[in-house]
Amino acid sequence: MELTLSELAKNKQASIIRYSNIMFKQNTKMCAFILSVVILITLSFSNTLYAKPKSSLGLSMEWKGGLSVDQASSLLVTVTSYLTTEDLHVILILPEGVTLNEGKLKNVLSAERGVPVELEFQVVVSNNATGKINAQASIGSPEQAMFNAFTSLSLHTSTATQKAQARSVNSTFRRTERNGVSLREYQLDN
Amino acid sequence: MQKKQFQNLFVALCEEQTFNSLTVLLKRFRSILAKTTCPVKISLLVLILSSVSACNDNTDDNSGKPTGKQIRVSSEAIFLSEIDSQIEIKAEVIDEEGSAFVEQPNFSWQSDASNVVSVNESGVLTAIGLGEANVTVTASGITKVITVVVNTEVITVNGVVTYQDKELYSNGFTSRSDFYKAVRFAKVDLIAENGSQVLQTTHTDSNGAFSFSGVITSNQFITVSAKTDTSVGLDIIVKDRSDSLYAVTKQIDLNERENFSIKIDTSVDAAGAFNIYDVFINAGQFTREFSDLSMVSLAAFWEPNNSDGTYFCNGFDSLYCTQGPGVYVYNSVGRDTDEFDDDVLYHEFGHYFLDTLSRDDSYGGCHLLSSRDLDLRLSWSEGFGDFFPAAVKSWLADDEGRSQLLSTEVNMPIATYVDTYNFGSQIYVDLDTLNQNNYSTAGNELAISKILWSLYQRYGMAKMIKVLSNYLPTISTPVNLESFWDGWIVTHNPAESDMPVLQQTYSERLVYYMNDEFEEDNSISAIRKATLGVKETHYLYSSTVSTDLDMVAFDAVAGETYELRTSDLTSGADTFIKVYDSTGAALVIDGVAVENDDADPNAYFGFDSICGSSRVKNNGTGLSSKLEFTAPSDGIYYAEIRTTPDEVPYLSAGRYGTYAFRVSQK
Repeated sequence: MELTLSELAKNKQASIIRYSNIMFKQNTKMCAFILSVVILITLSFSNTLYAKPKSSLGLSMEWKGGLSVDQASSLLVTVTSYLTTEDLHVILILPEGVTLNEGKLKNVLSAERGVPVELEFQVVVSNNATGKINAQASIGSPEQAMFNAFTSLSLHTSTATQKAQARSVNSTFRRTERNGVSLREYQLDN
Repeated sequence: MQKKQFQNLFVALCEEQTFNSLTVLLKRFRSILAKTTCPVKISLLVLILSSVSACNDNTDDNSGKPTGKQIRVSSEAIFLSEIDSQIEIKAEVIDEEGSAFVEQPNFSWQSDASNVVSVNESGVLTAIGLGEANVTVTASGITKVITVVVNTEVITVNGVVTYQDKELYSNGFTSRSDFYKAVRFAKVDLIAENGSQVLQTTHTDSNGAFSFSGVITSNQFITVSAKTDTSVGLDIIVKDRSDSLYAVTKQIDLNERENFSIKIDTSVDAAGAFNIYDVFINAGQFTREFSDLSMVSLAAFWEPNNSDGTYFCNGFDSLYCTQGPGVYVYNSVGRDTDEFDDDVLYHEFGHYFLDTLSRDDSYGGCHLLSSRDLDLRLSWSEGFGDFFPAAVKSWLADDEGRSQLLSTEVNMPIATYVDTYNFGSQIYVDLDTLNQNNYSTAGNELAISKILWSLYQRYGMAKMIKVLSNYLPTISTPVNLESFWDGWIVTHNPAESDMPVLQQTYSERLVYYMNDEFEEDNSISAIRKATLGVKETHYLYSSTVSTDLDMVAFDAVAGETYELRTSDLTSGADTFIKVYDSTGAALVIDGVAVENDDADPNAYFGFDSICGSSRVKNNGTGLSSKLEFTAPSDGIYYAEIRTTPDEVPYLSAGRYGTYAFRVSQK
C-alpha cells in the first residue's frame, strides 16, 4: 500500500510519514506497526505545538541508596550539557537541618557535549529538617549563565503545603459577568 | 436575682453610657444590696465589679468612647446623584481586629438633615433634596457617622492605570521595585453602585490615562480589563484558563477625582496578565508599523499554577489548545514562570506573526537551543521566534518615546533572550555575541535568529517583511531558511556586488548558499578526479542551476571494491549518490542500479532524551548516503551527488546544505 504524493503533501506530519514511507518500501509487513507508531508520534508532537525553546542543559538529582535520617545519605546529581565550549558549574544548596558530609557545595567541571557527568554528595539529614535540597547547574558563570537548570529534592511529604507556602501573590479574585463577558476580577484598595 | 439577669442589667447600663463608674452603680443598687445577706452582698459586688470591668473594656478611660468594638458600615461617604434615589447601608459591629460578631445588635439610624436625606430603620437612605447631611448609626453604645451628599452636578474623574513590571537582566529579575508602566488602550468601565451595571465605557490612552464625566459618586467603581481598544488596530485580550477576562476594580474616591490612580502591584496576580497584555501591545504595534495588517488579533491564556507550558496555537485542539488560537503561558509558581518573561512572550508572538503575515510550515514540537539537526521548518519557525524579541526591542529602543516600554535593565544588550526561573534565569543568550561553534547551520534555531538579526540590522524590517509576506506564502516548497534566501534573491534582486555581503551573513553561521570550490561541476564534461580516501566538502547549491549536481570522477580497477559515502551533513543536506560508468551511462550491476539515498533510514528519526520524545534528526547518520560496488572493468567512473530525489522531497530536510564526500578503495 502506497500513499499518494498529494495525500502526503496535505499532511502536516509529512516528514514523519516520509520516514514511514521508506519503511513501507522495506518491509510491507511492518505497515500496521509503523502506522501505530506514527499515530503515537503525531500525538506526541501535538502536545508541544510551537513551544518555547528548551534549555540545553539537563539536570537530575536522586538519592543513591535511599534516605536515612541522622545518618550519611548519598545524593547523585547528573548533569548533561549539550554545548561543548563552556565550563559547567554545579551548586548544591542545603536547607536547615541538612549538612554536607562529603563533596563540595560549589563545583566547576569541564563537560563533553551530550555526555552525562555524575557528582556524588553525602549529606546528613537531621530528624527535624524541612525544605528542599536544591541543585543548580549552569553553563557559563552562574552570574551570567547562558543556561541554568534547577532541580530539588523535597524533604516535605505534603506538596500541597509547599505550594501554599510558595505562593507570594494575592490570588483573591471573584468571577463576575458583565454584559455577557466573564471576568476574573481583582478588587484593588490602593 | 439570677446571675444572668445581673449581667444583662449591667450590659444594658453600659450601653446607656450613663453609669460608667463604680460609685454610680453602687448608688443605683444600694437598695438591692441592703436587702441581702453578707455572702450574697460579696457575690453581687464581685459581679458588679466584673460587669463594670467588662463595660469599661469597651470604653476609653477618659472619654468614655468605645475603642475595642466598632461599627463598620458598607460606605462612610455616600454620594447620591438623583432625588429620590436610594441606597442601603450595611452596618455591623466588629472587634478591634476587624472581625464581625456572630450576633449583631439592632442598629438605630438618624439623619441630622431630613430635608436632604432620610433614613429608615433598615439603613436605607433616600435623597430628599440637594445638600449634605450626617447620618448616625448607633448600636451597643457605639456610633458611626456617615456623610451623605446629594448632588446632581456633572463630575469628571480623571485617572491613570499602571501596573508593576519586573525588570530583567542577564540573570533574571533585578530587585527594582518602582517599575510601573502604563496600561495602554485598555477597556475601562464605570460601574454602578450595585457593582454590576456598566454605566459608561472608555479606554485608556497611550499613557494609561482615562476620563469619565457624568453624575459620578463615591459608591461607583472603575473596572479595567486586559482587553484593547480595537480602534487602535489591536485586538489583544488576556484571559485565564477558565476563559475569564482579567480585570481589576477599584471604588471611586471623589477626593482623588483629578488624579484617580489605579495601580496594579505584583502582589496581585493580575499584574502578570497586564504584563502579557503590554508585551503583546508592543509586538502588535511593531507588527502594524511594518505591515499593512489592519488588526492584530491575539488572545493569551494564563493563570497561576498553570503548568501546561508556553506555546502558540493557531487553532483549536482538544489536548492543549483547548481555548482556541492564542498564546498559552506557563506558570509554575516558584519555578518557571513566563508572565514577566518578555522575550518568551515576544517569541510566541513571533509565531503568531509568521502564522498571520507569512506562512509557517513547522509542525512544532520540542526544540533545544543548541540542536543543530532540527527539521528545517522547525528551526526556521523557532529561529524567527528567537529573532523577534530582538527586533521588537530594537524598534522600541530606537525611539526615545518608546524606549521606556522596554523591561530590561539600562545596560542590558538589546538582542538578548532571557527565560527566567523563579528569580534567576535558565536561558540567557545575546545574539550579538553568539558563539559560532555552538550555534551554527540552518538546523539550529539560534543560528537562524542570528542571521535574521544581522539582516535586520543591515537592511531593516521593511525589506524582510516583503519576503516574509509576499514571497513565502506563495511557494510550493516548505518554508524554511532556504526559501527565505530564495525569496530574498527573487524579491530584492541584489546586485552582484551585494551578494558577497549577503552570503557572508549566512556563512558566518556556517550556512553556505554559494558555489563550493568545485563548481561548476554539474556535468561529466567538466569533471575532475577525486583523490581516493580524501574527504572533500561540497555545498548543494549552485548560482546557475536550480538543482545542484556535484559530479566527481575517480579511477577504478576491475574486481576492486570501492566505497562511496557522504558524511558531515549539515543545514538540512540530504544526499543521494549515483554511479555512472565511463560512457556516462548509469552503472547497473546484476540488474540493480548502483545508487543510494539514505545510509541508515532508521536514524532519520530518533529519541531526544531532553525532550523526552522522538523527533526528526537532520544529521549525517540518517540522511547521508553510502554504497559499495565492485568495479566490473578498469576505467573512469563518475559519482553524482545531489539532493535526494525522494518522491516526497524537501519537507523536513533541505534542497541545499553542506556535506563531505569521500571515495575510497576497500
